[in-house]
Formats: sequence, C-alpha cells, structure tokens
Amino acid sequence: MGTTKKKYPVNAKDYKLYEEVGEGVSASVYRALCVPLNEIVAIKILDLEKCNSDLDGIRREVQTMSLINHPNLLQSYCSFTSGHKLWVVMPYMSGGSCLHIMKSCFPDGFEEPVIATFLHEVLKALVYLHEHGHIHRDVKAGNILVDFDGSVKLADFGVSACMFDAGDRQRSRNTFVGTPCWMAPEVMQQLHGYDFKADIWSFGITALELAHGHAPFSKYPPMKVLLMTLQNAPPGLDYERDKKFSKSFKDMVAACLVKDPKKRPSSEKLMKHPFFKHAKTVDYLQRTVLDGLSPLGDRFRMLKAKEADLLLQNKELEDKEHLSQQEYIRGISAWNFNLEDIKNQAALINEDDDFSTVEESKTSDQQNGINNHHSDAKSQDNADEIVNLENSFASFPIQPLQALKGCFDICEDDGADVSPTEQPLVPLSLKAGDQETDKDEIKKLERLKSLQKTTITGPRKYMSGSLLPDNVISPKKLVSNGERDHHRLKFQVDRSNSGPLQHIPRNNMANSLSVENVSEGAVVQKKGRFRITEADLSPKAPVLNPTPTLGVPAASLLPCLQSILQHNLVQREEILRLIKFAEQTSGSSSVDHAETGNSDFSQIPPTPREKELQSQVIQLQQSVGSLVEELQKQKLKNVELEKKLSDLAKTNSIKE
Amino acid sequence: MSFSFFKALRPKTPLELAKAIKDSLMSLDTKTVVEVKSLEKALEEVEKNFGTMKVMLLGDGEVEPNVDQITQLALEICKEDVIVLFFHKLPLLGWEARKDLVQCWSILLKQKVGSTHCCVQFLENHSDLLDFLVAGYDNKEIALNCGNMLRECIKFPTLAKYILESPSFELFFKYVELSNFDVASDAFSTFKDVLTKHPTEVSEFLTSHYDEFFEQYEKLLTSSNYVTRRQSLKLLSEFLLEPPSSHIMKKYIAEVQHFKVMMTLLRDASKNIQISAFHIFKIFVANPNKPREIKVILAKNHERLLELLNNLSAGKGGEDDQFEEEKELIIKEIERVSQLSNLDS
Repeated sequence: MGTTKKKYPVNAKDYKLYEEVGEGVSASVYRALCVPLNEIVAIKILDLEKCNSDLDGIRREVQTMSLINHPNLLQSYCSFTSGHKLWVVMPYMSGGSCLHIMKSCFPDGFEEPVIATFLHEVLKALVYLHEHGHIHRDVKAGNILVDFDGSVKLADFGVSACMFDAGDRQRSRNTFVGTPCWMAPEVMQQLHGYDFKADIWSFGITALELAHGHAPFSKYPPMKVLLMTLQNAPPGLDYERDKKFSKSFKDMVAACLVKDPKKRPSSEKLMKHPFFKHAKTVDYLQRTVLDGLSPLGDRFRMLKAKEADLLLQNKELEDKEHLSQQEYIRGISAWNFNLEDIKNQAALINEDDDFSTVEESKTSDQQNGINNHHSDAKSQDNADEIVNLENSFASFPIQPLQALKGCFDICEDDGADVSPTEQPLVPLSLKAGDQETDKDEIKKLERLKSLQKTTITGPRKYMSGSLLPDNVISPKKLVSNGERDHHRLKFQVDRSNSGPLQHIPRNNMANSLSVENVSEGAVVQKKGRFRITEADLSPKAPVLNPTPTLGVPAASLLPCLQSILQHNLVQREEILRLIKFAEQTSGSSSVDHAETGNSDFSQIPPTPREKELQSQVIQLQQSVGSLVEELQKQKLKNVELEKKLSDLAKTNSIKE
Repeated sequence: MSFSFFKALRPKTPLELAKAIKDSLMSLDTKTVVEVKSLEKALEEVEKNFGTMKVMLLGDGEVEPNVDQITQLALEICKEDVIVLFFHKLPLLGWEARKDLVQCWSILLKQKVGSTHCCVQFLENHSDLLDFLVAGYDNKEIALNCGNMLRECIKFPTLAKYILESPSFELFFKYVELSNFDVASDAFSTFKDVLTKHPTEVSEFLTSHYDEFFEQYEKLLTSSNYVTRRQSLKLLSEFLLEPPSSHIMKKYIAEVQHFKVMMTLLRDASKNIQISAFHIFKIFVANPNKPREIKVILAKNHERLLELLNNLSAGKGGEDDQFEEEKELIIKEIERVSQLSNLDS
C-alpha cells in the first residue's frame, strides 16, 4: 500500500560514503550514511560513461526497483545522477549476499533447514514479481541479500548491467540476460522467448548453489556452461555428498530443473511444495548463519584480496586460464551475449589442438586442385551474398555495420555448405534443408572471406562434428579479444558443420550406429587424404571400415558402403597422381641434372624425404588395396544379410 | 443466506463493474479523504473493483479474458466518464491500485468498437486529461504511473499530436532535468516517444514551431547535466534524420548557431557525447551547400578540429570501420575547406 516513505535526498552531498561492500563491472556498492536522516544506506554507484548503449535499459531497471513494494525485494529509495555517475540509494543489508557468506564461512554450502528458509523467502519475492508481470531473470545466491536480523531480500534488477533489456520483447529475444550458470535452457536457446518459468529454473540452480557452495558448472567458462546446460541432463542433487539431503528437497530441485519450461511449476505452485514446510522464520538465519560473521566491509575486502591473489597466481601459471576468468567476469557483467559468438567460442575449445593454422594453409594449398569443382558453386554463393548484403543495407539503414556483422555468418555457413561434394554421406535433401534454415537466419554480411579460408572447412567439419559431445567436457582455453574475429570466423564454420552430422541419426532412416561408424570412418579418411602431403603420413585407413554388428538392417548399410567405395576411388586416384608426380620428379631430376646443375637438391637423386614419401605412398596403396578387399567382403556380407533378412521376412509372413 | 451466496458467486457484468468502479472512485471525495477510517474503507473498495477489472481484462492466468466483455467494459467506462475519474483520483489511490490501473489502461486504450478506439476517442474529446497526465510528473508519487499511461496514449498519432502542440509539451524540457533519476528518465523516455513515434506529425510540428522548439532544445544540449546532454544529443539525431523531417534537417544544418553547439559538444569531457556529437557534426561538414559562415568557422578552427578528430575513435568493435571511414571523409572535407582562398574577408 502507498505507505508514505521518508524523503531521501537526491543530492550526492547529503550522503557520506564509507567502505565498499560490493562490486560489479561498471558499478560499486558502498555502505553510506544519509546525513539528513542519520541512517545507514547502501549506495550503488554506476558509471554511465561505461555504458555505451543508450540509457533506456538502466531507466527500466531503476523504475522496476522503485515500483516494487515487497518485504523480500530490495527496493530503491531514490536515484540521482552526479556527473556521469548514477547513484541508487537502497536499504543497507549488513549480512551481504548469500554468495559472500558462503564464500567466507560456508564454502561447502548450507544445511538444509537454512537453505529451506532462504529459498522460502526468495520464492515469496518471486511470487510477487511474477504476479506483477516482472521477470527477475537473475536469481542467484549473489543476489540474495541478508540483513542483520536475518531478513532476506532478492536484489539486483540489473542496474549494473547497461545492456539489460527488459520489456521490449522483440529485442529481448535476441539478447539474453542473466548469468550463464543460472540461466534456463530456453533463455539460452532464444527460440520462443521466455517467461516467468526462466526464474524457476534459476531458482533451482540457486538451490543447488546453496547446497554445494557453488552453482553446477560454475568452474567452467560461460560458453561451456551454455552448451552443458543445453546438452546435458539437468543437474540435480544426486551426488554421493547429497545423501544428507531430504527427499523433498531433491524433489523440489528436480521440479524446478526440468528443461521444458511448461513442465516447471509456477512460483505460486512451487510455494505449496512440501519442502517449504521445513522453512523456518528468519531469526533462525540470524542465529545459524549471521552469528559471528565479521562486518560486511571486512569480508568483502578479504574476498577481494583472495580473488586478486588467485588471479595473480593464475596469471603466472596459465595466461589462458586467466583470460578465461576475465572472460567469465565479462560474461557475467555484460550480460548481453551474442549466442552465436558464445557457441562458436565453445566450439573453438575442441579445435585448437587438432589443427594448427599452418597446417591449414598448407593443406588448403594442396587442396586447391581437388577443390576446384567447388569454386563454381562458391562464386554463385558469393553472388547471393552480395544480394543479401544489399538487402540488408536497405533494411538496416541506420546501422549498416551492425547489420553487416550477421552476414558474416551467412558467408561462413554457405561456405561450409558448399562442400557437400566432399560429403556424400549426408543426404542431399537434408543439406538443402539446412541451407534454407541457415539462409533464414541470415540477413546480412560483413565481408566475404577468401575462398581459401572456406575450403579449409572440409577437414575441420568432420572432426568437430563427431567429436563435439565429448570435447565439450574437457576444460580448455578461451580466445583473446584480439583474435576474436578470426576465431569467430572459424567457429561459425564448426557450428554449421556439426549440424548435419547431428542430424543424421535422427533424419536418416539408417540405424544411427552404422551411420556414426561411417562418418567417423570418413573423418579418418579425410585426415589421411589431407595429410598425404605431410611428413607424418599415417593413414588410419583400417579404422575406416565400418564393422556393422549383426542385426543392423543390411539395406541401410548400402549407401554408406557406396560412399566409402567412392571415397576409396578418390583416394586411389590421388595416390596414383602422387606416384606419377614422384616418378616424374625423380626421373626429371636425373635428366635435368646437367642443365640445372646449380639446383642443390636435384644432385642427390632421391632425397630421404622423397624416399619417405614413396614408402608412404606404397603403404597407402596397400591399405587402399586392403580396403577395397575389405569392402568387397562387406558387400558380400551385405548380400548375405539381405538374403537372410528377406528369408526371415518370408518365414515371418508364412508364420503369420 | 442462499441468496447472498449466489450473489457472491455470480461475476459482475461489464456494465455493473463500470458502475461499481465509478461509485467507488466517486466516494473518494473530500469528506472521505480527511477521515482516515473511511478513506481506508473507500480505497479498499476501489482496489477490489480494480482487481475485478484486471481479471476481466487480463484473465487470471487460467481463464483467458473474454473479448466481448473487454470491449463492453471499455465502452461503459467511456460512457460513464470513468476515465476522468481514473486520472483525477490517481493521486489518492494506493500503491497497488495505481499499478493495476496502469496495467488495465493499456488494454482499455487498445479496444476498438467498429473502426474507432473508444477510449482514444474519449481522450480526443477530453484532451485536457492528457495535460493532466503530463503534469503528473510533478508529483513524485504518481509520476511513473502517469508516465506509463502517457506513453500508452502516445502510441496513437492523434494523441501524440495533441501533446506536441499543447502548452504542456514545454514542461518536458523541465521534467527531463528533474533531480530524481527515475522520474527524469521516465519523462525523457516519454519525450523521446513523442518526438519519434510518428515522424509525419513530428515533422509538421517542427515545421510550425521550429524556432521555439530548437531554442528550448539547445538548452538541453548545453545542460550541465550529463545525462540530459547525452540523451538529448542522441535523440536529436534520431528525430532529425527521419525522412519526413529532411527539410528540418536541412534548415538545421545551415544554421551557425547549431553548428557552434555541436562543436562544443565535440569537445565534451565524455567520450560518449563526443561520438554522438560527431554523428551530427559530420552532417554539417558533409553538407554540399554549407553556408559561408560555417566554412569560415571550419577554416579558422581546422587545426584544432583535425587534432580532435584524429584522437576520436568509436572504440567498440563493430562500428569502428564505418566510423573511421566517415571520419576520414570529414577530415578531408575540413582540409579542403581550410584551403579555400575566398574565405578570407
């Protein structure tokens, strides 16, 4: 109700700032004295100059903060500007955030009754917010504040995030808001927009955070968190150490962490969950959690020092790790991710080891001959892109450059899709579909990349495609900012390429097992082919052969086998060409000897390198031979299997 | 007993609801307001009715609202002059009742009966109500509620046009500089909507009020308040560059006074402001028909300008290239102008 509130002055000189008690990227929180009222308050000071976008988002959040009125929500008393700083005056919560308390005194999380009490208070706040049409979008322990008496308030409506975009539905679909670990899958996917249920997910993650002392996946960089949230089963309370927790707690968490938002309970419904019967009054928190805590300012200073130490150590040990930490911090605070960027960054994590850029350029040089037939298709595509570019200019008259950025995606996607000739495994219809959806997504283009770059995508594609799910888990480095663009370019490729492979099991009629086998085979084969020019030529061709287990429908194997055969033929041709080349060079070197006497290398007839190459070629030939044999065998087997199958079918029909 | 039970169950019809809302708002008269107890009771009644209205308009989460009922309620509310009461009694209402009203308002305003929006039409005939909403910014308690309702109104060209031409439009120049950030920024956001949502109406307004408007606007651009300077500068490029206002833009960039302001902003302490200023400054310079006076200023200051421009960078990734390109063009133009011999007089 419209309780008449105290009049808080809107002038910086009426406040006396004390120590810092919290920190964001563009904002800091101070304990302060409101002089005229002689009252301790918290003041969040935000540097508007650091917010490049317009200030509308900040306005909305400040408004939300002053238009709410609930004991479990942190309301702002007032806000005003002083120079280019925005001051937001709020109640001072002397206990600090749950996160801070855990970090300094409860590193392994709280006891269940404490968790129940915290969550109950937070849920009350969410019920109120949702009822009034607000989505909090950043529920996490770091935003749960505790006062000296144990009272709990949910804080932070994104005042520290310049790009926080509330209200405007259309835009909020393209940006996502929140902190990766706590973010609901649908928020990440940005497919259908999202609603109140996103807060329920975050609430569930927060429950895990309070139980363990950290959020699930919190040790991973943000983009990996995104992938893990999307791909893995929802996290829950099912580790060994979670045995101490009650069934109702586990059940409550499981109810929140359902990937389908429709199946999550509303905040109101969740309130009726039996788990919250264990919630106590807040003075319980005061006795169990707050008792003996050192003053917030001191704790904050200590935590800050600790973090600085950690950062320093990391810097010495591993610069990359440090980078990822920075990136992580950035991720948390900037809050406006381009989803593709992040996905691509995540994809990068798999790649770097397998493929050096040097190798790429070499192989692509060698590939030019083979890839010639691609260039037609590609130039056509380029033409398309130019059309796209023009369209995009028309539709984005104000910010052509931003519009251009997206085009980048297109050209990469298309580039990748151009190479289906290298990829006979993928049914053509599927390809076309993919290209279409890609085109749909795409509106614009930044610059056209050289042909060379796009042709490299061949090998990368196969590797990333099949390896993706495994690699996601291995923690790896991030990209430095400077290299970002370059990387983005590469990763775009990975993304679109891993697409088709993932689709195969679902879309192809074939049994997924056999298809996967084959596609892996193709990978190896590709590798082999690409490395022909390299010294360490070691074809892993034997692996190539799919070894279909019995019971796999034989007919489904046929296309795969055919494609292998095709590959083999290509490989064979390649080898023959190489042999010819080798013969020519060794032959010509003896003939040209007299004329080109000054060329050093030709004077030592077959160089060790050449020998090596020759032996490798022979090896390759052998393996190809054996492959062809193997293939023949498989074909025979197939025929047999088919026979058996048809026999079986017959007997079946007879029986029936 | 059974009768009252039955009565409680039967939901109110739109007609009854409109009547009940009217009665409960009417009861908030001076006599009630001085008496604490009776005020409380009257407010409770209003809140209850607003709650019912909200369910009728927005549903209750389970039952979708009935379209016919919504239209009927909108009609009744206009017919019974309830809108007048909505506005006039707003300052007396409780916190939640105000918020409910704001939510309902956006729905009511959109209701169409035949080809007319009945509530919009009502406001067109009672335009002083819009002035009342604008003046709401003076009262911190209801400022944000008024702002939200006002922005809903501005979505309709006729109402936006009225506000532009009303004497209360001038108040915005004051409100956007209020010391309460939440109120000031809300007022700015409304101000921005008025000036950008309907380019044709804005163009007409700027044509007929050119001098007064830009005189006032210059005060915003040269304000000592960082937020005012930054936001008004950004807004200027938004409404000035709308196609229907191109003649306004041409007139604007031919006037030395505005050019001087832009030059000052180009040297602002804030980088964000410098960059926004550049995006308007460049139009002055790129203008093929620059008046002589502007050329003279460019020539006189070319060294400092070039130094300034060379030190200016957009900083943030994507816009870099275009910015640098434009900057180069502008630098070339300044160099060219500075070498013109016929400027010395």
